[in-house]
Amino acid sequence: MDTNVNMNEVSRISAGTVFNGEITSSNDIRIDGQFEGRINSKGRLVVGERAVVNGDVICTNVDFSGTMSKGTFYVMDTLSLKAGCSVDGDLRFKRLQVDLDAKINGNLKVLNEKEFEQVAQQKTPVKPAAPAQAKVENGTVGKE
Amino acid sequence: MALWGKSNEDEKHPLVVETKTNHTVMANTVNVNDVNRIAAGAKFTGDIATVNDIRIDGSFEGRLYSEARVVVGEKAVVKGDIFATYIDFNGTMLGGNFYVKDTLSLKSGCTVEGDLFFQRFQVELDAKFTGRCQVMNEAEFHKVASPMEAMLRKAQPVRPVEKSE
Repeated sequence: MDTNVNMNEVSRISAGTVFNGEITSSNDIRIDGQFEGRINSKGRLVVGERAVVNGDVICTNVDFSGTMSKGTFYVMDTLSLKAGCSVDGDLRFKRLQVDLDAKINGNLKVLNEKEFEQVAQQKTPVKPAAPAQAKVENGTVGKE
Repeated sequence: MALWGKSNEDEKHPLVVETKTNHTVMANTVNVNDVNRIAAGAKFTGDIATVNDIRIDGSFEGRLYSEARVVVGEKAVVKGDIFATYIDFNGTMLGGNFYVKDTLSLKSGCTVEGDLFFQRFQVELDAKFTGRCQVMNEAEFHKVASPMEAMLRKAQPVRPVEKSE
């Protein structure tokens, strides 16, 4: 991550966190926990060594050290796969950097800007959050 | 609460003595890297479950569960149910409920539309609140939060969580 980035502007999913859903962001994102869904960011995505990310990742830059068992990267600029990472999924990128010991299973293809815009605009239907099963009914909670 | 950055530092009247509670002590020991953050300019839609703190300055829609503290900044917009041990709320809530195992704190300038369930409750002057308030005990909290607890527990075998000291 650039050193000049203000940490308060970075969204973060820390270790010990599970997130299912969609993230849209104009800033950088760091993931150390578990993520499932879709990420759409205009900044950089950094995925830590112990993180698990499944789903579509649409970003300008990605530094990936974690694990992906299902999904696709759409990276407008540089996709960087770090040593120790594991990716089962497709990679679409403008530029690719792979460290020794990065495990990749999937198709690689260069992505042009037009295609990227198309993907970024696409609204994938987000799986609606399951309704909370336990509802507090009127009067069943409380000490009156 | 310098941990949360400048945006949250209220100007204290010289005569106001800040009371020391358990959770201020707890907050001081939190590692910044363990805090989840939805930054300004970011929108999260979906379910989050975590053992750590969450700070929201952007927008969140869905269900959120934290075994620690949730801090919602002044410009944040939240929609949906929040389950947490502590909530410090400065933002805007557009429908949904708060379920708080310990202390819910509505800060000056916040807007809340929804029902509040808590063990302890604190409201500052100028907090706008529309909804019902109800006290709930720990057992009732766990009953209501059980789907979210299950989501967190189910995920843990995949990547075991090391709780920082």
